[in-house]
Amino acid sequence: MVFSSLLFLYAFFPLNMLAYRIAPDIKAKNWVMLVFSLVFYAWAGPVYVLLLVGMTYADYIAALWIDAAKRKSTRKKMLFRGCAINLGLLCVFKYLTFLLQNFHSWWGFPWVPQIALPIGISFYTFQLISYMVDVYREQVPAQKDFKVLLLYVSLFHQCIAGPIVRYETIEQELTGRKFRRSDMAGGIRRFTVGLAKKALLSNYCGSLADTFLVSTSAEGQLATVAARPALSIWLGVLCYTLQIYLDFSAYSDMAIGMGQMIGFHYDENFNYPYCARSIRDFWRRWHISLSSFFRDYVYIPLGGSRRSVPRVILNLLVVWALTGLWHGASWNYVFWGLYYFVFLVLERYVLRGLPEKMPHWLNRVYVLGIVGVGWLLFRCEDINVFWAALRGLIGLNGNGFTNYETNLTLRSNLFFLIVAAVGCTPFVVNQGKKLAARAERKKGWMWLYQCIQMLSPILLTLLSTAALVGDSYNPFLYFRF
Amino acid sequence: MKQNKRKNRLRLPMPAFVRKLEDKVLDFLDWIAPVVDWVGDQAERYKAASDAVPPPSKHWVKRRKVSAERLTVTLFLLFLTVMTVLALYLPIRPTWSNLENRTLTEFPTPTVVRVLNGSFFDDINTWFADTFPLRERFLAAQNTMESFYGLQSHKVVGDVAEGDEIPETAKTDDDTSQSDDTEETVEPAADASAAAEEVETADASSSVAVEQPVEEEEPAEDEPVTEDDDLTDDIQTLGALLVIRDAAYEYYNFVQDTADDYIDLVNRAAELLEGQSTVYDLVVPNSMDICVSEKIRKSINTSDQQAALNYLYSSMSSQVQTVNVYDLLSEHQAEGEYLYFRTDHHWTALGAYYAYTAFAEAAGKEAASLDDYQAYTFEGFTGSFYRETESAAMLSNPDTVYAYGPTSTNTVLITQDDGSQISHTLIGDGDSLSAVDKYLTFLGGDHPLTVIENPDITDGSAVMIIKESYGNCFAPFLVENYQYVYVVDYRYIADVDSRTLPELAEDYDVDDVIFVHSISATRDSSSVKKMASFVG
Repeated sequence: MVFSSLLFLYAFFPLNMLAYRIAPDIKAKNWVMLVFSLVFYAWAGPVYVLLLVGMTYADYIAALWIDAAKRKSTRKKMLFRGCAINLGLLCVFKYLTFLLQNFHSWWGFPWVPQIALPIGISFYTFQLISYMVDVYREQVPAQKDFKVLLLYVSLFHQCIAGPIVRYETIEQELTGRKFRRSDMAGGIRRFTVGLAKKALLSNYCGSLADTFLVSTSAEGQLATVAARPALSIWLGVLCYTLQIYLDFSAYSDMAIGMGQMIGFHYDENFNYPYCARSIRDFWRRWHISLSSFFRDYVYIPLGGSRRSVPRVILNLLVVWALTGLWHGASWNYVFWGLYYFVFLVLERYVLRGLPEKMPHWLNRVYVLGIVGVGWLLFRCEDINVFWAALRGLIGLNGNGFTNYETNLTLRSNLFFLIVAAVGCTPFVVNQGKKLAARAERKKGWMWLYQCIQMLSPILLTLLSTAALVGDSYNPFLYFRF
Repeated sequence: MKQNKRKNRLRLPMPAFVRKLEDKVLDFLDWIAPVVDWVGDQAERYKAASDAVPPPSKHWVKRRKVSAERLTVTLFLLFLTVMTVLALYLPIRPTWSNLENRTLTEFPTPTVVRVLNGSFFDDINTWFADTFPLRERFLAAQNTMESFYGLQSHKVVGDVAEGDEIPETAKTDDDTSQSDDTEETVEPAADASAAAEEVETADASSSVAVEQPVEEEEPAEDEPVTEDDDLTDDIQTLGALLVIRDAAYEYYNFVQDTADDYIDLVNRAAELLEGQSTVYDLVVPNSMDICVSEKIRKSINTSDQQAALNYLYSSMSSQVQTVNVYDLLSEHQAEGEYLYFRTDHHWTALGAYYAYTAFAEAAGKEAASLDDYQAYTFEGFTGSFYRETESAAMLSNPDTVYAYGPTSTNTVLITQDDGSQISHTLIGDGDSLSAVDKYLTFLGGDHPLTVIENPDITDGSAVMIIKESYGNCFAPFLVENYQYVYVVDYRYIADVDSRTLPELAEDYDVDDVIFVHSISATRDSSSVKKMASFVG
């Protein structure tokens, strides 16, 4: 099940809220959340619930042992074992097929098994690792109650598509959270905005990207891409760039919103990444929970930036290769990670503070250009398709600048694209803040402000429903994560 | 007053149209000025009034905010409750969609495997969304919303395939080495430059000169015809579509190898049938070339059908009588006649009639007048293009099927897919067919073999049409000229009859053999293969 499906919106979620409301105390409420979360997870394949529960149980025991052990070496050993179980299972389920395929294509053996990827495994594995490491570092005490830990891991808000919530962040709220009406109202707004971003903007951007570039499931992608004129590829990259941000941030919005409604406060996951001033800045704003995970649990333990220059570069290389690989078991994701490694090293040692000194418009060109090409690489699992698209981007495929179909599609979606692009900036939020400030000074504005606040969630949900009823294009982008 | 003002304006030397435009603009500004003033006054008064009111107290602001929050929560939860009750109240779920003309997804049946691998739950998701209450309302809302996305309603549906370059000269190889000058291409209106290409589709339906009242025609037999899935077959081979307002046009991409195979098979047919029957070839251009202006066509990736036809026909041997209807159809289209459906990939019976006259001319027969046929009108046809695009504009402006049947008979003998024979209406009751299937009114759709006999002719003359669905509305016209009309669908004939074309032609003592099909068939290798294996 995904949040942007009608079944979730008009069956699962309301029933969850109702049961949660009826449950008398925090213990019962937690049971409600746990049962609903497991049902939610089981929806994608009931068998994998066992994997989720099993992994959590193993880490639960490991964390208890770490907590109980007095000697540092024992603690380290237990941490190592716990992580080995997690990463081992992650590798088997996510990377084994990929590894064997490569092995097979080089050596001609062995047999390649087809292992289905358990949904969300990348997210909850990382949550569990962060939990164990934090226990090891004595930042949090080990959770004595298994079902509370299981709730943390399986909570349907963030289990399958992030954000990667740290145990530390919600430790208190797991067992003692308060209901506040302001949280509820804010959560509703946040959730509906996320829903609209996904159902109204992102899905349509995705279908446009397919039109301008090529559908990622189509046959003969290479030939189709090679026949596209330059403008079509540019627009395709633009649409995909918009889609991937809107989609991903929409999921985070919905997760944060739903958490807020019942008193969980997750950290922000996106901070308008396309307004970044440099690539480094971009990664501080993009999928914050993932990049901070790699920073805290890989980069810093490796020595971070406080080592010699070659060592720092090596550290960065490891981090970015892993970041790429995390996004999917395919070479293009690894290249995508290394692509950013190159630019980050450049910015650190060659450009220094140059991007921050550039005029703003040049920042946009610089960041969006690099990020856009990055997304193209991210999209094309077949690297030949990527090269063809890249050549097309600079007009080397000999298809001219544009053609009738491209102009047609652009013209008939012009306003939509503008709205989608504005949706990636803080413009709307800023206007809302201005209105709020005015409303405090003038009674007339207060009326308008209140009406918008009260009616926009309903309006957005209705429009999203219309889009979801008619829309067969509702991809779940994270099935590779 | 206005006149005075205009006289006082400073006149600079400038072309008349600029001056005209300027006058228009200034007049408009004159006209709108009081409104602007009024709005400005109101705004100023409002500002003054609101400045006079002291800013609200902190307490008031806080109270308002709390009440706004309370209302946000209450209203949203109320809304969610109502929607959930609606969504979970199963009896109001629709099971059939008029808009899309299909049965909606049914609730899945669980099996152990499907439950364990999760596909059962996926199916529940699909079912829940597909049969959502008020589905059509929501779809309409979505359509309205999407109409605001951009500037115009043209669009391209499907993946456009690049066509091969069309050779200027005829194909030359061993068995067709006869040069161009020996061929006998019949071009009823041979002036290529006269080909007018205008998009005349928007109001074409109203300009059709056929308005006879609908005759109540009982089907000769009430036996159910196995209305096979040939329509779906056709749709799978539909290329990309160009959608302009309420009409779609199918892209045509010339494929050299397939075209050459096609040429070979027609030549082979003529050779094998020599002495037995004359072979005619009638490749029908589709609406893309006939209805869409040249300007648009040149800018998109569709191959030039006239050039393709010239290539095909000039490559055929002199034994083949080629019938080129490109210019003829273009001319009639330019006069605003209704030759192609806007919402379906077929031509209309009127288009087929003009092709029939061209054939008659080539065959040296006298073409019957359109008035000699019984006319039928069936409204509300939204065909394959609609099914493909689900365009709201097409739905609100459907096509009309005008059918013409011979007066002598309205019965055909159909050999069905399973080999059984049934008697069926020649022109069926289109009103009883669903909106997407109205083209099945002609001969009851596509069947391996359909035989029509004209009881008024006794000379034993016989014609065989080798066709796909384009031939269905063409065949009825031939009944006026032949005692027997054999309609063979080359895609299905092999299922029920192992005889090849020469054997069939001999057994039925056929005088003329006509290949009638859309130009799309000549780019589709599976169609050409089936045709070739039928020719033998």
